[in-house]
Amino acid sequence: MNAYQRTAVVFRREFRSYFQTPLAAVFLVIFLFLAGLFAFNIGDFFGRGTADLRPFFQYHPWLYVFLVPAVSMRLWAEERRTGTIELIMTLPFGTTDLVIGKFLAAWAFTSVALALTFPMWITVSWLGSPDHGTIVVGYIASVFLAGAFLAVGAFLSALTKNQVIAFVLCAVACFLLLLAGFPTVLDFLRGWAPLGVVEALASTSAMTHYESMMRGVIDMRDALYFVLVIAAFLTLNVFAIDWKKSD
Amino acid sequence: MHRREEYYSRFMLVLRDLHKCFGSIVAVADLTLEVNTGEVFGLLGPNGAGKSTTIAMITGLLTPDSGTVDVLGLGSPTSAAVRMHLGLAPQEITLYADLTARENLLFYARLYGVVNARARVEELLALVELEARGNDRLATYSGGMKRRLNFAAALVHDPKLLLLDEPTAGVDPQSRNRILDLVRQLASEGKTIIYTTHYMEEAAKICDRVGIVDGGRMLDVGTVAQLVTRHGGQSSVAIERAGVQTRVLTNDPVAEVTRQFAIGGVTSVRVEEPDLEGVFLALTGRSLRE
Repeated sequence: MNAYQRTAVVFRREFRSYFQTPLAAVFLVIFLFLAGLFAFNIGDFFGRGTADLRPFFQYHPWLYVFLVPAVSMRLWAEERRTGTIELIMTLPFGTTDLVIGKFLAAWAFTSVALALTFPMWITVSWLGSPDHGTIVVGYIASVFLAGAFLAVGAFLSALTKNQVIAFVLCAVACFLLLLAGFPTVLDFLRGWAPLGVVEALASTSAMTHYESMMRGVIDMRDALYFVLVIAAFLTLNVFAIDWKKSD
Repeated sequence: MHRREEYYSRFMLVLRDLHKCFGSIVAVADLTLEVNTGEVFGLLGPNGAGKSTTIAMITGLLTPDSGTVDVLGLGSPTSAAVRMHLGLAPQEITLYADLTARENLLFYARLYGVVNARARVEELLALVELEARGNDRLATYSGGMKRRLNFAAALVHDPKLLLLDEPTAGVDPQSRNRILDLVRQLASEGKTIIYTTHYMEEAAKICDRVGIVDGGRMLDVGTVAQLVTRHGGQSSVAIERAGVQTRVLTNDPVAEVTRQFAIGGVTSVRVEEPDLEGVFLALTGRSLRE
């Protein structure tokens, strides 16, 4: 059996597990409700008089700060709590396949949640003539952002057997990852920090790259940022699992 | 045959000077052990003796501070080649409560790349007598049923070396007997089994050899008969005459009973052979259940 097949086995088991608990239903309902609330009420979807989904996408980072940790918190913390990690760690292959399989399942699950917002696209298309390319890139950006946050959450989940701690750590880490590129923070830093530092900080922020993609253009630097964040945190996840395998 | 090959055809597992500390606590101290291919080896000791830590080092879950673990002459259990030959049934239930028994076994069978995984799963469910409950979620199982399934999961890839860590702890008598029968059956099929327990009756019943462990140290290794001969002391003959009981310690209980009957007036006689409890008491100065 090769690595792809093993990853597929882990993916199938993990993806199914979301739907065997109330987690999937609760997550999907809350995500769809909040996505709609932010877009229509706070984002003033109808009042803007523009046929686009910007009010919908612009609140995704803040939604993900709280909803992605709810998905990622159980990835490894649950395996530790129940002791199933003990048997998994004696399997005759490395932890990379397991880490990738679990991550992809969580990513696919959040992507399903995002896919269920397609009626918004249909609505805006019915109301006017939106730029479909921008909407497609908006969805891609949102998927990338969820992936980055999930990778961070998966790594933090590997450090503890307590899901609540994993949730809080992930929410804080994702919040900081957004905050680093927030205009208020950057403006404050510009007052006293060297420009290079401010730009470096802004470039590490998920918000900077997400906002950039929301303009409707896929800049390779933005895509590469998300890919690198995912790869870096999944690598850390592998190390964390190996480091704490007997805990 | 080369000497090395000859050596490893005889020994399934070789532990050399294994040492493991957790902070200032010595969990396993300079443990050396050779487990013969095809034997049931019992690690007997009280809770906290270092049995589970030893098992964790054999499976590669823990890295020893010093010393080596060699399985089948293939080296350390961190390698995939070695792990293919190891089957572990840990002390805790390590299966998914949200999956059925079939799904649990199928998950592991597929990860191990077992050919005809479904057929293997059915075979194992029959072996642990859970076919009828195969489609029920683990969460609905009794403790004993979970243990039997835990056992089955360790066998999914047909390993040569089976590590059973307290497999009968806290189970009902029916499941306990089934597990002990399974150990005997697997041993007769040629599997090498390491069986940790703090139940001396189990160790005496199913193990070819037993290692007495306490405080992380291997105090002695041998067959039950050898250990009893070395450390068990003398047999005890309890004789009752006219309501008065006396006890005589002897190396030859048959001769002693004959002698007592020759004296006459015996109303009852009971011979108590030395056992592993006595061995443990002699080696550690305390009872196994203390």
